[in-house]
Amino acid sequence: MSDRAVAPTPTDLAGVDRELARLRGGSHGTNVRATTLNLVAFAGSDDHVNRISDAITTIGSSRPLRALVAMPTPGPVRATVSCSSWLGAGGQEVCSELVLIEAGAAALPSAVLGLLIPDLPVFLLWQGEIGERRQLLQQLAGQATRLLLDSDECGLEATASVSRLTPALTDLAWTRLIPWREALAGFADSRDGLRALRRATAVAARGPANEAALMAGWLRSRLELHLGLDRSGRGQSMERVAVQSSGGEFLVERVGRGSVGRTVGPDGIEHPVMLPHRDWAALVGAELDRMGSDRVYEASLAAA
Amino acid sequence: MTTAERRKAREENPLRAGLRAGGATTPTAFVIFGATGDLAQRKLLPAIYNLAVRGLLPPRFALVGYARTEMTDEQFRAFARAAIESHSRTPIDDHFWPAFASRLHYHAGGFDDDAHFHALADTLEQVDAEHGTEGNRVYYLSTPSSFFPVIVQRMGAARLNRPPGSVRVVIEKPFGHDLQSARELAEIVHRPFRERQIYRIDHYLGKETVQNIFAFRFANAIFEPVWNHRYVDHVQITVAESIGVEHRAVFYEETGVVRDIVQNHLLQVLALVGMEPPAAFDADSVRDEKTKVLRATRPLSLENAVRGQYGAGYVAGEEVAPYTDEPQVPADSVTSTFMAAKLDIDNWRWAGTPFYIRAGKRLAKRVTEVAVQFKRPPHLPFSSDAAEYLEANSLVLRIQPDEGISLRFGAKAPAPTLVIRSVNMDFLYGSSFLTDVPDAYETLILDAIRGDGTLFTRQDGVERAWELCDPLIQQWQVGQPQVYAAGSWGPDAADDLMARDGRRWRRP
Repeated sequence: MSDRAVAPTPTDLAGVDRELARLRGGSHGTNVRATTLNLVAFAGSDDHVNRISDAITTIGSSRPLRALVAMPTPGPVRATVSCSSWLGAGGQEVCSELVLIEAGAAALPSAVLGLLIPDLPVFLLWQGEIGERRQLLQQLAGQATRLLLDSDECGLEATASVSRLTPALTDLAWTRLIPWREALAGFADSRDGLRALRRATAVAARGPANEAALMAGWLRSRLELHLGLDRSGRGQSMERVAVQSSGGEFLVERVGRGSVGRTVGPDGIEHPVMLPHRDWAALVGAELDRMGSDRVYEASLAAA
Repeated sequence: MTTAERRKAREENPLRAGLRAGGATTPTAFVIFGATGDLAQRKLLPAIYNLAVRGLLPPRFALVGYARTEMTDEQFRAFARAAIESHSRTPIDDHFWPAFASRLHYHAGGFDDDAHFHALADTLEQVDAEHGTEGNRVYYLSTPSSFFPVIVQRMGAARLNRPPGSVRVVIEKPFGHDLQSARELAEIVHRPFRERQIYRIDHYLGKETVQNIFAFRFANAIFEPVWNHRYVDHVQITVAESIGVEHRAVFYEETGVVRDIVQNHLLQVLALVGMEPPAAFDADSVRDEKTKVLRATRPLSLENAVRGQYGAGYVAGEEVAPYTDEPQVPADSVTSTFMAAKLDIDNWRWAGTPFYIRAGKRLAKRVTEVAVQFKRPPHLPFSSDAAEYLEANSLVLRIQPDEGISLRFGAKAPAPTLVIRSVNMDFLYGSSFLTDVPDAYETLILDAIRGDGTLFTRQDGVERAWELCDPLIQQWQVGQPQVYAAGSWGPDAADDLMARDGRRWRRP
């Protein structure tokens, strides 16, 4: 949470920069402002607005940014600005800005374009389903250097269908799999392990359908194998992945409900591993640290 | 499998593609000699715990503590937990602790006993079997340097230097107390270990802000063209501490400021500021360039150096005692707690542009910074009144505290007539990235496990640094340092050193 949060202030579009400058000043005014990126977040509902607003109060401290939350709403363009600041150990201030732009879908892209900070990368975060908003996504993505969405919310098929709209696409469901992929990759650091994994025949996953499919797609594309997927479980997070091979089983599973898990390879030696449940803000923050496309994800999505 | 083969296998691991954590992957047994000592408690054990929590340790990892105190594995785990609770930058995660603690083992033994080293070899074989660490070893010598020779000799005798897998040995400074002893130590360490297996730690190089000197110089095209004698008048490097010798008086009496700060930290920073761009950011390329600039640097000389010893005074409003009143310091001590010097670098980049260095204890404030003072414009088209208060441009890289960069330039003051004033534009790293910065030991331990020696010092660099310092240390064996008031910026002679060249110290 921020050390100083300024209550949202309504303004018109032309007054956004002036109002933000005023909010940034306050009693902590600085003559140099550091900002690292623009984040354009699509919000299809008030829940989406609240979620991204809460996330900015977490991730904005380590990545000072301007967040433009675009919400399609009937009527004229309205803007509401707010700003959060954090004081570092040396007394220095980090400041992130949030502008909620409410406008008709046709007007939103131009409203966003005018408020982007020049020369900084633009991340587009799409929340929820795509459905009939595809044209709006296409217009917003045209200004973005990277598109973030969550296939757990919009589905893998829809995700695949928008992959060509942007030079770089990533998926928060994919980000959730990072610790699991790390753990499985550890088996293949040795030649014997890699050799056995190259003889894999099937993968069993207990967890969400999208993530299980992406996991299988990842193993298929990286190991260049035709692997069957056996998915089970109804939980909201991955609990277990087992890769069957003629060389034995490679298992990664969560132990209990915490962040601790274990890996067991064909040698039977058990190793502890961290399998953290990262919250939504942490997932978004992790993806804001990365620029460019993710070829491994694209190949995994295609093979899912 | 050799280390190169393992690295190749890792690089060929198709499942590693696109993963970002940057952690170590080679199965490793990490052995700390002196595991119950102060450094292990304050730095090493917390650093390893934080690496584990961040998921940066290899999946197959075990830590073996070695020290004289009799202890079981369980007692060592309790000891480690207490050390981590007291000194870690992150609190202990009770869910994670049991899994982490299961990787900790302990072996009691002296440093001069062959039998214990042979027994340690047996323990490590058991650790390999239990944790799958495949015979790969990182040995960390966290003991007083006087034990280094005997430990590495015993390691060789017990064939700990020839495990089934890769082997690296990490050594803490000081690397000798002069050129001769540094060479003698190297000769002993080189008997069981090759140079590329030796990782000499200078924790300064693990600091994020020191590494930022690389990023600042070599990731920005706008500064490098003016980073030379044509545009830079001189460079000032300051490593100032506000504290006194505290509990290190016995150690400090034997070392003094030149051995404690200048020979290692300060010359390393000088090398980073003065080096040519390396072809690649890898161990050999970076260390080659650092050593080259040190070779081009003239040794410290009596006529270009000033020494001092702090007397009574006030630091941050608190009255403090003189050095000679500190516990365990002889009343007639001639140990230097301050030094300032002018260094010339004889190469195309820096010929005629001196580097002024100063370091000391009980100075006005704690600060480490590099100030690059640029030359004045060749011609000012303004009246002398207009530019009366205009200073030359300067660029300050602040390493600690308040890490950042400050640029001073001239700007028109709002006035009906043309008046130019100097203004500072400050950039604080903390205002761009308010993140929890890893401790330098986390960075360096991870690099040692990964086999990346870029941030460690190489023997040729160590020897060159002693060659630069030894003549002055010898000459300062006689005579008295000037006493300076605690809380000041050193003796007046330090100001005179600059004034004779028409320059003055920056006030940090």
